[in-house]
Amino acid sequence: MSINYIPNDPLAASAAPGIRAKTKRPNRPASRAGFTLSNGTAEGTFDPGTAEFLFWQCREAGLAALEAWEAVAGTFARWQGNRKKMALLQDQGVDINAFYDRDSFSFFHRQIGDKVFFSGASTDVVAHEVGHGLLDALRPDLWDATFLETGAFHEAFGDCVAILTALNDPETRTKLLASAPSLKKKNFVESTAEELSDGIRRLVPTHNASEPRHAHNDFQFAIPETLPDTGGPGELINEVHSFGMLFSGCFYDLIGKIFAAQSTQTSASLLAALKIAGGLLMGGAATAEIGPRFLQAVGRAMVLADEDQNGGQHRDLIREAFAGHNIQLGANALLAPVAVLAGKAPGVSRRPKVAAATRKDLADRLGLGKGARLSVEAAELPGRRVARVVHMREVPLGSVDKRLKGVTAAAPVAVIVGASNGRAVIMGGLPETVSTDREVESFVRSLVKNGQIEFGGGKNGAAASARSAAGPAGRKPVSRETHRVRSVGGKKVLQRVRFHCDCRDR
Amino acid sequence: MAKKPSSRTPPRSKRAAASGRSTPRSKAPLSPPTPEEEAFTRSLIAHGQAARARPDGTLPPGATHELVEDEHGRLRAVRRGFSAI
Repeated sequence: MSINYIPNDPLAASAAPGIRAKTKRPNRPASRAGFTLSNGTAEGTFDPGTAEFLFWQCREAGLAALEAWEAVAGTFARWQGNRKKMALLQDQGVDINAFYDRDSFSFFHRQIGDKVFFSGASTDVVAHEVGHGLLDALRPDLWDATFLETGAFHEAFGDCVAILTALNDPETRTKLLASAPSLKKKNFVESTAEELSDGIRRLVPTHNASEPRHAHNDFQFAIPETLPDTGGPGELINEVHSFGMLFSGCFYDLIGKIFAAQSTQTSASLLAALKIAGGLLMGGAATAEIGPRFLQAVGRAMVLADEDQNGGQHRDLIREAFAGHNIQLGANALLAPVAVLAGKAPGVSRRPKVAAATRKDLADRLGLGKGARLSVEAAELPGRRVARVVHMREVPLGSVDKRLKGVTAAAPVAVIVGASNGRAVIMGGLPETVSTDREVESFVRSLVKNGQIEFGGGKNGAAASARSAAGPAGRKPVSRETHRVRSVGGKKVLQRVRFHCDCRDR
Repeated sequence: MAKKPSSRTPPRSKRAAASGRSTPRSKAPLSPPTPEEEAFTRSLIAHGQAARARPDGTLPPGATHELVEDEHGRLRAVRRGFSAI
């Protein structure tokens, strides 16, 4: 017996493989994670639009997604919560959407005009939802992560699984290479859920989701909240599904770059490239640290995964793929916007101007009290001029040595402020003040230990402190002080007075 | 983005509540939300993806997050699922 199956989306381009009669995939082995099916029917080559077709189509698409994932990530044994089965519900009523909620993969139908849209009839959509389930099994901690980029990555991961599922199909690879030999043009693989988008287009033509999501795109990273909340069909906006296209773009470009680097460009070498990229996706997703800039974190984790899986063979290709979407993974991360600040982008002339709202936001983030001073200076980073905002942090030193009670050391805390979509943003990262304090304390502790602090100030004080300084036991006091406690503006501060290279004792 | 038109009543919360198994009701975190967390919540609300649960415990169509108040009365978005669009 055979079933009818559409290996892509019902509304994929004419270049895509059409409906085919095929032998059904076998049920999942008992040792692996699988689906609980409902409202099943006997096998047969049923027409699209019938409940029988939908059952077999949805089942086949779900199994194809798991098969594609296992081809790059190995055996998939358990869903989130250590469960063997997850319900695959091909038609849960009226909607034009699909859901994964840790209980089930749910699909729907909706009549619009003379057409009924079944989300469970699209292999793209089913694979996308199964992708959520796969990632949830791999990284259940992402479920509760409260950053837009973690949500966007979840959506992108679903689209990546849809692409993996499509390209794991031999006929799809052959037809794709016939229409897009280098993959560098819009095609039916990088475009997902075309029919669902068509349904939305019929309801709200201007809706952002009325254009299918594309992994072949040239979107450039910007901090999500600097993007508009709304936008026309297919535009990049501050919304998880839309923003996820940045990552699916990186992933699709990586497949293309690895494919281009193969000695030949054939269906077999495309499959090989797919498996490499998929393995890196799995490795990166598994280990990336949760944070606001999660797409960059996944990219960096993919570089590390490549070291582990391939000896770093694709490091440059990964970096290029991400850089193509303005996600910097290497030293250029210094130029990457990491957090949006209040206020407009700073002026970056010789005398840069940072808005009062930006300064206040920075002061809050650095935990500074009222009246804290922030100085602004121009800074040159390769290829651009930015503003450097510096706060001189007064680190108390009483905990280092009792003779330093009431003494502070000034530590510059510098933040690079640049622009993203006209908004002020932190570039590279925000210094962590606790670490700054500990670094200073550690340094001063080493000065005390090595007798390099002149306590008390003044000539007499200097002589006395030289004798009393806590130098190494048995060591003759010498003028080895590099730092002195001084009174500045009524405050006792530790300041450097000289550099000293006393190599005799080493 | 305009809220997506839909007439679905999602069954998932009911099922989860009935089974008491999955879709765990995560404890709302107690620390103040960071600016990034607040921005994410604003995005979810703007797109109809975060909403308060209805009296029957279900979420409005299209919602992936439930808006709940933490112990300090702050509004938090707690994930209940993922959607395709």
